[in-house]
Amino acid sequence: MRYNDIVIKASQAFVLILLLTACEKEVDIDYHEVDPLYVVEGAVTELRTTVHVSRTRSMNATDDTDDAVDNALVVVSTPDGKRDTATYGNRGNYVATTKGVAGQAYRLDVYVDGQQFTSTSVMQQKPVLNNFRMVWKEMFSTRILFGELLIQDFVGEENFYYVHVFRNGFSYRWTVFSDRGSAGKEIKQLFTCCTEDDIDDSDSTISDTDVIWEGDDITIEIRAIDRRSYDYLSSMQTMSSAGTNPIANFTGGCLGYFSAYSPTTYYYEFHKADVEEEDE
Amino acid sequence: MSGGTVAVWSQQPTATDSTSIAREGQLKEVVVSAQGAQQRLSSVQIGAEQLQLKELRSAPSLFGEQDIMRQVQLLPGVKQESEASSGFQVRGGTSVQNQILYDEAPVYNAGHIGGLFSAFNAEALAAATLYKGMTPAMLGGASSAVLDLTARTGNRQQWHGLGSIGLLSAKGSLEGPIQRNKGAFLVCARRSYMDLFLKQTKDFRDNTMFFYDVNLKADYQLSDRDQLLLTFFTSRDRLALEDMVDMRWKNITATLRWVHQMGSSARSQTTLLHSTYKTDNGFDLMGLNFSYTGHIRHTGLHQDFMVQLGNHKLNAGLQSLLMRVKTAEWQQLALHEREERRAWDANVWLNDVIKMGSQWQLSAGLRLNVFSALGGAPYYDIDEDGTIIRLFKPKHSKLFKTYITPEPRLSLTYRPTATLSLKAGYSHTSQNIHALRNQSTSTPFDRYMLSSNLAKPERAHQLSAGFFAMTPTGSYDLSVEGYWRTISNVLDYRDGKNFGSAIELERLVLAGDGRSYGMEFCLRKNSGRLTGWIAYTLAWAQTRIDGVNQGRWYWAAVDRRHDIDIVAAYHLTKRWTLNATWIYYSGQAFTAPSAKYEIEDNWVYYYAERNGYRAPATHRLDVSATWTMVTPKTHTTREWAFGIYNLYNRKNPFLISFEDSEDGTQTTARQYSLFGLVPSVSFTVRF
Repeated sequence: MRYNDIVIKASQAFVLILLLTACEKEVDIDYHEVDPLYVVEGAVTELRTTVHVSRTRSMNATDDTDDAVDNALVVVSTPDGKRDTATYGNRGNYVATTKGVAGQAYRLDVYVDGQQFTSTSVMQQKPVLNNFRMVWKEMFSTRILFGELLIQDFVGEENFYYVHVFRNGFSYRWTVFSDRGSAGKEIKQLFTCCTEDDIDDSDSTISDTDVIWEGDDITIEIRAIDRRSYDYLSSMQTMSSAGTNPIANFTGGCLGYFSAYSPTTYYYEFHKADVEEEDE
Repeated sequence: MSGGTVAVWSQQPTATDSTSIAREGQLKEVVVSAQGAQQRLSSVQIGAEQLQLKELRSAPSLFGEQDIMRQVQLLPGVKQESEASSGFQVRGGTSVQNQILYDEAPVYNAGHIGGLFSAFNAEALAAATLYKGMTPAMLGGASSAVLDLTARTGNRQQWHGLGSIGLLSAKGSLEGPIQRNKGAFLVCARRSYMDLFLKQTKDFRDNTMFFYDVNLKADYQLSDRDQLLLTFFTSRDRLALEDMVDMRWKNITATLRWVHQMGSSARSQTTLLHSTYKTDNGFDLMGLNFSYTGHIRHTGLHQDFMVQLGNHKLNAGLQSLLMRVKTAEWQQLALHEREERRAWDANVWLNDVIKMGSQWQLSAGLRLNVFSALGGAPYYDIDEDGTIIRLFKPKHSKLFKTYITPEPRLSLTYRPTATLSLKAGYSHTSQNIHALRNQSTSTPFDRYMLSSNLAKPERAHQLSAGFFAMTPTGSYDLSVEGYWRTISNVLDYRDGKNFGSAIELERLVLAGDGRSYGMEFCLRKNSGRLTGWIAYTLAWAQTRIDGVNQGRWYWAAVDRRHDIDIVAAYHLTKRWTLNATWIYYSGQAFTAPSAKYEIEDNWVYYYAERNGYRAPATHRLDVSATWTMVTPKTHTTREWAFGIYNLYNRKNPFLISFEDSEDGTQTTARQYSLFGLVPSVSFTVRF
């Protein structure tokens, strides 16, 4: 949890406290239709280059419409000037053979319908996860389940990280953070899961997407990312409270971002008996 | 409407009532407010509202807490910031563009429980006037409205007091002579008591949640010509959740005033003032700890001269303030960042109220504001992305950047008949303290900064005109006012930034222009068993900032087209008074997505326009009944007040959030509402 997040969450605490006595209901919104925009999500890893090209979806869409774009020309360029044209697979996915090397800058160009979208990214080192555990934290006589990560920061440079937690293969939690305040040291990150009561209550009324059940597979992907990727993801993380769009990562007017990284992946099977108590 | 403020609250006013001396400029408005219609027609200042403080006693209120700010929200041209806030918005301005003065001292974020109630104890107030951006030259420092509060003085002849207990808090006051007919004091205190009960429960015994406020005013007649007045006010809130969260904020103001009568037609008022607003917050979650603090401090001198020369009533003065603003100081692990700056804010003014025959009256004035950002702290230049490209470290004594703003003020009244007046005015105002909020409403977490080389003063121009009419007896009166307001250098967030993105606020925002216009109608019934008013406001407010919303004009977050406030009091019997308030607010502007897309297995919203959507309308009926019993033998008055907030349990919008299904096929918009039906009761004894 970054200081920025804490500031935001603290300011929202009042709202949340007030909402404890509040009620909620669904409301109808007459969404304004806009022309679809192109969305590009590109990644260079030590294995290959993958790019997904799609269009924005209408807020009024009620079925899983095909947003994929299959007629784009996708080119990834390496620092030595080599241009690698990606091959189209399916559902808007393009793959190139270019493999990333830490410290090298890569450029992604996407040409579609007479438009060109360009972004660059510098490949980062593979991050180091020192430890992961699940922990109980008691709040107001309720035990809340937290995931705790300890990540070793690289010495001598400003670093940015992206962590994505999957539960049974589906996105569960994600965050981005920098090493400000912990440069060169071990960085602790926490993510909330659910309460012990939710896990014990087989008739739990809270959304199934929040509860971690006995035997669930937890996958944690950690990336060290460059500042441009961090700016994009960080602004995406806070956009819902601000009602603004993320900082543009591509030139040319498309949405999305491009990042070169080498992920570290950790697998964990959840068993309630393995959850540790908070350190006193 | 009945209700003289000084007369009522001093209980036994004297000819030398110090409140009237301290605010002679408003005295006529205060003491004649029992004939409010006459006052509204005859006062020269357009866009000024004198509040009827007496009505606060019986007006319906949330949890039974009497709140002057909630009454301000019911005036024409004034909008409630949100149901969770006692903040108010005037003529297209935001609540942080208002200035609240308490006996000359500015008060910032004066709210308890995160702004739910104002920190001003109604028992401590003598008079309150709201200037809706149209202000005489002696007032300044706000680009929107000025709420001028005058603290009540104690009784010089007799001892009086009260004790009161409600659902949330208990309060008491005591007043009496320091020396008979020479001086008096008044002290009022209020404290919430819910924490005393929380301590008894297993689940909440480790939590702390309280607020209190204390008001003190003392005056002393040094001679026939000299009087000394001391005002002190403090409010404090604390919310601590186990060992994880500890949030505190407080206000302190103090003024010492010397009033000197110079002959029969001139007077001098010299005031030393100090004001502090401070926040102090800490968080600790499983070893991840973070703290941050901020403050605003003002210290200075305010000098007024008032002279009556024939048909001219002159007011000249100066004010010199040293301002200190700590935008933020935060500490997380090894990270420690702090930004604090100082400024010198100097003002001189001259205002003349001229009577021209029996029908015309003119108030003309000029205020000159000289604001200097002082050295001793870092300043920056930034590029178009907000990145710092140059750092300045001016010496402590250096005037790093100075802005000079002449602010002309004009108000003209023409009264062709005894029951009709026409008014028009122009006002130019400026503001050098800028505030950024993370929510749509103010919270104790707002961040403030002074004008600098990058942040220019907000400058507002307002034109207003209207007519005022009343029946021959003053039983009814009608006012219609229109306004056009423009403002420059208003701030809004850059895309992707929020108020915690960096310690340097100037890097997070872009500056632009605003415009607002509207009409305000108010019909009042002032006498008889039934009194009250119907206010209707028709308003528009827009903002344009290069870099936001593609540089196009967009609806300001305060934009709301229709506001209706109906306020009624019915004196059923000698002992029973019934009150009701009904409000209707059309949809508030807010930002909603216009498309969605998938990034990193998450559905992300695309915002095509800022504040391009409208929330559902808000409406609510609040009622109260007050029983009053006077016992002549013991000179005591007992008072029971029963109230119901939101009588028909309307679920009004407070927050609207969006969430999507995993496959992006269904977006759900959820509206959160704060308060349903809330009953209240309070008991008060006065002696």
